[in-house]
Amino acid sequence: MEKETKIMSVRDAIIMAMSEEMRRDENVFLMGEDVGIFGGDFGTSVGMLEEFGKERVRDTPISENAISGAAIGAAMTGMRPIVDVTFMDFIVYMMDNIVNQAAKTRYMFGGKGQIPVVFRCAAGGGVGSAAQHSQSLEAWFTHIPGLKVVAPGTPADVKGILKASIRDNNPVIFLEYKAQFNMKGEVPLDPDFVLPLGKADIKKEGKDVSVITYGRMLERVMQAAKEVEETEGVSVEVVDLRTLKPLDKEAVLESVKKTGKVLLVNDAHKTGGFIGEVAAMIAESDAFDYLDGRILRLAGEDVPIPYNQTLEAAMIPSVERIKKYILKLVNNR
Amino acid sequence: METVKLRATPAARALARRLGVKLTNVTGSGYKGRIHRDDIAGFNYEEKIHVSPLARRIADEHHIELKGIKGSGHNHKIMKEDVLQLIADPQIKEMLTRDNLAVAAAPPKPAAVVPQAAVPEPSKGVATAAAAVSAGSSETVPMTQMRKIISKRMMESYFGIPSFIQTWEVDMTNLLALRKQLIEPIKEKTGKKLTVTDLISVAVVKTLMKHKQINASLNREGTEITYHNYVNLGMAVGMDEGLLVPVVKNADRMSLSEFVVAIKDLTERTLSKKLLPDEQAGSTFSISNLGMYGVDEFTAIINQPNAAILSVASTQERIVPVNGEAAIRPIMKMSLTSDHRIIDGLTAAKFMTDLKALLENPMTLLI
Amino acid sequence: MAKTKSTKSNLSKGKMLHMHRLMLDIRNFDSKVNKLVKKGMIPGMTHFSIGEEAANVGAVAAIEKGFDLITSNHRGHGQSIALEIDLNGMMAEIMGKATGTCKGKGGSMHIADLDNGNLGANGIVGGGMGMAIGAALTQKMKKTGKIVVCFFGDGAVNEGTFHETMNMASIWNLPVIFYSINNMYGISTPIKDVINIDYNYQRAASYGIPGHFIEDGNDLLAVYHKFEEIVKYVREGNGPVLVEAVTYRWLGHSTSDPGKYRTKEEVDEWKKKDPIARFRDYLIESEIATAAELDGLNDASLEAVEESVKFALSSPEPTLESAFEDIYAD
Repeated sequence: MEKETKIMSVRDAIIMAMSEEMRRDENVFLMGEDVGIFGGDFGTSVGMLEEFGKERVRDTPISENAISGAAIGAAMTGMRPIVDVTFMDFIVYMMDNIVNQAAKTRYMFGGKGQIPVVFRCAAGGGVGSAAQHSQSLEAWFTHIPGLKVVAPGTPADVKGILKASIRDNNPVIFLEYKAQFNMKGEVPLDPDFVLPLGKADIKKEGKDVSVITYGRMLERVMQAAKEVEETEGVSVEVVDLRTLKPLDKEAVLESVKKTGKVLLVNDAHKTGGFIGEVAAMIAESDAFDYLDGRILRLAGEDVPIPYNQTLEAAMIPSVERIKKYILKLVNNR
Repeated sequence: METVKLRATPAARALARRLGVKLTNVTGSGYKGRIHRDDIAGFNYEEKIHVSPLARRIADEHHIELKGIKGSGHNHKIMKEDVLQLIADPQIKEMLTRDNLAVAAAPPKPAAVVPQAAVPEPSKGVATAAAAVSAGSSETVPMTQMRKIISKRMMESYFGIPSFIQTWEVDMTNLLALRKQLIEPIKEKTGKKLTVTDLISVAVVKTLMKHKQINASLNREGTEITYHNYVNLGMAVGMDEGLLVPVVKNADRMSLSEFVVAIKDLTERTLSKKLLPDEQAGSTFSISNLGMYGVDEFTAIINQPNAAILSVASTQERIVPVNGEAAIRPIMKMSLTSDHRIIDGLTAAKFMTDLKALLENPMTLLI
Repeated sequence: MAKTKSTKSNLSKGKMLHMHRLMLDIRNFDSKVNKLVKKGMIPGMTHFSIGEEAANVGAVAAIEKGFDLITSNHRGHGQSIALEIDLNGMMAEIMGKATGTCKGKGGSMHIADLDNGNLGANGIVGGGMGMAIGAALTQKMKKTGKIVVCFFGDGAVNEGTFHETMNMASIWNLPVIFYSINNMYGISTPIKDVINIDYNYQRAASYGIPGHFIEDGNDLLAVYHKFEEIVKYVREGNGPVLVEAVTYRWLGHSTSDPGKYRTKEEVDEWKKKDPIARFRDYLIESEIATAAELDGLNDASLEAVEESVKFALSSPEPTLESAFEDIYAD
């Protein structure tokens, strides 16, 4: 019997997910800068040009506006493009097409038409790329009705969620984290392994405090949860959102009601960050009566990411700081 | 009147509301004195029971214990129908009838806030609270709910029961020796320390099984005697706030180690206020032990609806005649207070004789 | 008053009358909407195609309806009507009714008719360009043989997207016609102030594609025959084309534009070059149709417009729930 899972990196999971979907559906194709012979800025399409050819693994000029526009036009007329945005910072060039066109077209046309396109963004810092190459901009897109936004944090989740995003008939902003392309984990090999969008995952059950996170910070939160249990005996429940929009409110609120103590962690800047939305959602829900402490947020500092590695590391939540915040909550601070 | 805004989490507030705890009474463990849920859970000993006034009156009339009962009203409020239902079923009624001196439903009027009253009003010009209580002044404190109930029960028992007392002396030499031998094995088996009280209790249990009239209960009206073929032993535990009597259920079926574990657990939870309602009800006999306080002898008041209560005083070295010669022996006085409506002098004497014999020849405990 | 010469053609009478009728529809429809706006019966902004009828109809007539695709811009009434959209649905949409082409949720700037290849008007200047090349990419990848006409104005040419999409269409050889309807003004800026070349079609050279010029965009047959030529070129797989037609809008940029940036003289000059009047003259002079026939067409057109107004007025408003529908596809 074929082995069911394999240890592989996030990068390989991405290649696998895209390749499987492209084999399954001839309308799926990949376009972006340097996705072909170069194999992608982060090696996330290595080998695909050889398998699928240059019509379906399409190198583009440096024209983010045209790339996104073309993807949307193609999606509207029957194709299912995947756009490799490369550094998420460059998605800013694509904003009009994503926000004004892709997100709204179906609505403005009264329900006619659909735009099945995935924008894969290499988000976050931690690789010394400095301010213009290290941003996590998911908050902007969660604000726009008509878009879906996902941010998986493990190789298996990356594969399952990317496949689901490609199969989804809506524009999806897919966050992959530069610092985690090499991160390894067990990934199911089944080509029909798809995870549902809009469903969070309890990565660790616990009863003292809920830590809600996603993406790059998931790894650190899990580490902090493990350590704080071993040394202080605190039982942490880790809620991995996986999909930011649509948000799995039930999963979040259930956990909050269970523990009464909430810490939200992400690497994007604190002000206007997505966890602020989750915090507000908790505060106005009926889970409010179960809160036994402040709703705490631990996020990236409100500064452009600095180049110096020590400075950069200090600007993003670390395992130590996550632990500190967990204990703050547990000690009723 | 100044209203102070309290820091308290939503969960704490919700729990306080549900249990009828005034937040101003609670000390918060959180940041800047913020009250958290555990502060309420820990604080709340005097549980206010959520009950309608009419239901309360009916329950009081029938001496029904409402603690732990969930009613049919809003937020489990106990309503008249619920109480009538409880009364209608004789078994349930029997179970819920108060036999516990300390824990009972609060009287309708809420007690005044104790902590504030405990601090005397600082008179004008006095600088610190430390200087507030000077020699010659008094402190008047209203009774806590708990104390009010104890007081009520005591009065009922004292004035309601025609009781008599028999005091007996026991030579504790052999029991103390046995205890020394058993300390290690018991420690190994249970992790707990074997006390003299434990051994006395086990002896009492064994003796009770042979004296039905002592291990009996009398109903309120005094018209029915219930003889139990099991022993639920009530052990009085004194605390600053008052007296509680946790009950070791089916003590007659326990081995010594099992008893030791059970009583230790109950005592711990009594002291940490984590005792469940049904762990304070249903005793068939009670023991009050003031031995550790060096009391020579004393008599206890019967814990209704028990037929009797044993008071155990301290063990003291005394000179006693042994085989015609003066010897120094550890002697303990114990008193049995009995309800004369169901126990007469002879019955009591027979029980105490057997008990004394067992305590003085404790090896027979193993039989 | 000298008559401007019109191109001659060998098209069938039926086709020509059909095109004339479509121009009348545009004129009558937009005139009616203008009146309704003044009466306060239509909210928001509307952009009229009055004066540009030939530039629109001539182009659309050269493509295969129901087969080829177009993307439109904010001044999209002309294109939609030229593509023979249902006037009832269009008027209802402009009035925001539930029976509108977009269920009342898009309005004038987002009129679309996807089933007939109309990928929609667009509220963002240049917003349709990316979509057009994307649609063209699909046709290329799927080898459908369909082409895409991307309609935009003279101002849009200065958007970055024009440059990017023309370039991408060129390198990938996409079957798209980039069609700039030059009515010589953005909102208020004359074209001469915003470009440093004579005409935008000259830019085509920068992208290695052919650039075509229709100097008289009010000459219906000139527009039509030029398009006939370039549609053939593109359909044969030769890659994209840029084409520019010069015309004029009679009314302001939108309904909220008093038009202070143009002189009355200029407007009047252009009104004399009315594309519908010219084509009418041509038809009558060439004895292809009689005045009566053409009047009959106009009457029918006016009636159809009235019908659409009645339809729209009697249509229900969309429900509150509908505001929350159609955000996502299943």
